[in-house]
Amino acid sequence: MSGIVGIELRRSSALLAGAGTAVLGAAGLYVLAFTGQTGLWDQQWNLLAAFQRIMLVVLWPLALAAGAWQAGRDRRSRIEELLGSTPAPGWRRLRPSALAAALGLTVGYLLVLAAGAPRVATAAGYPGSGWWAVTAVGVLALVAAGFLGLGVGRLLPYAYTPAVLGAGSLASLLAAIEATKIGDATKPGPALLLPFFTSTLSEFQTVGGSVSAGQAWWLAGLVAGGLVLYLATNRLVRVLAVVPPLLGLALATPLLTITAEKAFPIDPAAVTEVCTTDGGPRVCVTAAHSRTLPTVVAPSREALRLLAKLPNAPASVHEAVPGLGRPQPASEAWVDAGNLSQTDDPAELTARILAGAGTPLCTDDDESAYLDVLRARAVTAAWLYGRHPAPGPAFSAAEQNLRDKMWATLVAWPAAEQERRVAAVRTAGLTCGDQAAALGAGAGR
Amino acid sequence: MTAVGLFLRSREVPAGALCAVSAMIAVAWLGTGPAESRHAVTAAALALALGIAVLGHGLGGPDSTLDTTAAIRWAPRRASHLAAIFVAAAAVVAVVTTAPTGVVLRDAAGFTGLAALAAALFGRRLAWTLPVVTGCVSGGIPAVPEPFALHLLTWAGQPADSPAAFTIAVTLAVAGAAGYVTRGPRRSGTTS
Amino acid sequence: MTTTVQAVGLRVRTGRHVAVDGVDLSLGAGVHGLLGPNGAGKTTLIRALATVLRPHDGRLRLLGQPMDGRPDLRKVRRALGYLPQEFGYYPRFTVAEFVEYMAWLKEVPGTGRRRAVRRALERVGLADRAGSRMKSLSGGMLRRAGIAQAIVNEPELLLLDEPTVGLDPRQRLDFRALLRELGERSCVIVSTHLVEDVAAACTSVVLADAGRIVFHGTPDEIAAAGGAGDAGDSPIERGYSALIERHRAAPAVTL
Repeated sequence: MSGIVGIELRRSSALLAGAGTAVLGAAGLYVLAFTGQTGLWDQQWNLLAAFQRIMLVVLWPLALAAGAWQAGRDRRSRIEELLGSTPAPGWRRLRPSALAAALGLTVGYLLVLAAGAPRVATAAGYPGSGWWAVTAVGVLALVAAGFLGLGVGRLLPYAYTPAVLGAGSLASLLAAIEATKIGDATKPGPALLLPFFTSTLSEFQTVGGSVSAGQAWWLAGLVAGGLVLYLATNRLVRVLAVVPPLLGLALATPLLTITAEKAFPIDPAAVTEVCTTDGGPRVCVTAAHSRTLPTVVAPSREALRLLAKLPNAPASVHEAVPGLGRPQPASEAWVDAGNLSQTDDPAELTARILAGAGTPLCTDDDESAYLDVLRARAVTAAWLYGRHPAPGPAFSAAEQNLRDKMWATLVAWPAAEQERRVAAVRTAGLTCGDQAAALGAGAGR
Repeated sequence: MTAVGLFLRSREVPAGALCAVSAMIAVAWLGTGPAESRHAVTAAALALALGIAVLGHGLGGPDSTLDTTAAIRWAPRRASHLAAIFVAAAAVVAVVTTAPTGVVLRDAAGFTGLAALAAALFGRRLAWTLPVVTGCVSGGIPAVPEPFALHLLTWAGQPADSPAAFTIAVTLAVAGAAGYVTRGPRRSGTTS
Repeated sequence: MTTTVQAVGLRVRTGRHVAVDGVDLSLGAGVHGLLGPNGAGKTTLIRALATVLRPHDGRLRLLGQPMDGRPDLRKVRRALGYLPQEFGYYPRFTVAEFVEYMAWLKEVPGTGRRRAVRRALERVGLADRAGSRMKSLSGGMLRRAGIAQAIVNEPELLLLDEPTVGLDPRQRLDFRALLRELGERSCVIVSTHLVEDVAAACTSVVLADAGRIVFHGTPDEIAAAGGAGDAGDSPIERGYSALIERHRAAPAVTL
């Protein structure tokens, strides 16, 4: 059969479908380079693998259409008469083309991974764990689409089947996303049955083992169902094609009935601290960001020097990971993980560490209060830095005006009061309190 | 009238139109739920892509080589065929959807151009490819204003007042119509 | 001599129309020409012999296997070669790939498959076009590729429906020689309108009209049936016309 698979690979549309997948996927990765958003996937192998899973939202319906097109070949070529006189049973005849389709799509999917690999290899410090399982499930999802397309294309051998399957399945999947959003957000179960991810991962998250296992069962069920539908030679077997997906669903359901935290848990290895060991004040970043450590050290120590004005000043700088639930000790200055990668300018990085006097942003849903907190943190940073505005991006005139007023209010107070207020901002930040109220300089507070 | 009827039947348009209209109504209806207008635009774009992809099958006859030997002038007929696809698809979707009419007209023009282009390049059997691929890219990726490359890729999902999306749609419509009207569908017997 | 095809009262329907209406036929090794006017049921008969259509009445034995009940079709089909009237093919395949693909479907063992493909292509004179795509072939080459796929498994029963369409005179001569060679050990049934092909290559001729067998004999016997007054340019053409006319004049006669 191997020679026949070779013929099918060369002459059927399987490799074309794989090439299309690779081109569209690679384009999807690198179109983000125009806005410098490749950080969404190039920081870790894990992120690349997960981002590919997100892109399946486009590739999955197209693989379905490609499968249906391939299944219509015998009819289009008017060769059914001749095939009807051959001894090989239908399933045996169709096996090589199914295998070729699976190979084409697999290679296409892996080529997208390969296209992203050079960037990840240069940008990522921490490899991330379990990315191969995420990729394997992605391959399974794409092959499931190809096989379902083959199966439906053989069942409904009409000229319109590929088009209706392609665009129609995307429309239904988008509707399904909306439907899953209506449900409880902390229980992502139904959304995990979709053949693609609906949101990105952070650098600290992994895909839970039970999620990959559950999705693998469900998608393998779809693969088997599509294959049975494609190879079926009579009506009874076609009806039996629903059995593997149902079986997969039954096996997957207990694995996928979990909370969002367990579905995409924090990777302990990614949040392990990597610290300086040169004897100076300690500066620590997470393993996920270990590559940034050399550039962070000097600005961080500068920030520690400036923070020393305060009573109870911190002695080390650490990267803060959201969602860990660890309280911040008074002896440490924390900087938001997102701030590390936002700038290359040492002065700006120092100012970012000084925001909120070395405490991470504690977010609140109320937007006006949220903006007030941001302003208070910026003014605190400016006070510690000794210059207003502190180094950083420019703001609109109205926004800058508000900040100027807060700054003027702060520096109008006596020096001791200024120091007390800034220390209060830090104290509030340590316990996730209201930093705007702690500063109390304007914005109606 | 008989000639038009025979022409449409020779290209399997009646069955295709039935399939296209029901598919467009179903997909466009999916976007009319309680969701905000972004979903209506996405659903309308997908509905148009699907409907026009199906109608595109009628852009060629069973034997386009035989068609080229006909004495009649094809160019005006091809042009009216494209215009009919545009009008029919836009009308059906505009009735169902809650998306702005400007979006429906723009997307219908763009997808009609793509179907015409695919028919001219790959033949009628593959006339669905370009509308479906573009529709899936446009519908699957959130229609963001930035970066510009993504803005262009998701032209069909952009709001009605986007000049770039409008330009893309007009370009596709003009290029597709020009290619199809002058060259006709790809000669049969050369696609698998 | 063993009987490869044996039909008794065979009836085959295409839709509601009974295209083969009570055929009795017994054929062994040799080349058998199937002659008859349009609509005589030649193609339907060949399709039934190719196991594509199931007979709805009568008995049919192929290669000793009865075709009623639940026949072992695989065994019959392994020894079957078939060139349909409308020969479908995969346009993107090369000639060698297409013939190899068909050889695989006919369960030619993998070890000898490539050799069988080369030999089949050589026999139809297409060895030099083995690497060409099917879609690039001219009509005559396509027909020869069709013959090559039909003979690739060295069939015991070879069914060729209009094999000489599109062949130029030289190729037809070669084809007749190939037919004679194949007929030495296989049962070859050739449906055609070209009476001279039959005269030159066939050991027996089956004349069909309106779903029935009108005559079964040697080419010489057909030629002998014609007189100077019958339509045709050669003795066998005149014999053909005479036999068809005679049958139509007395439709009640069955052989």
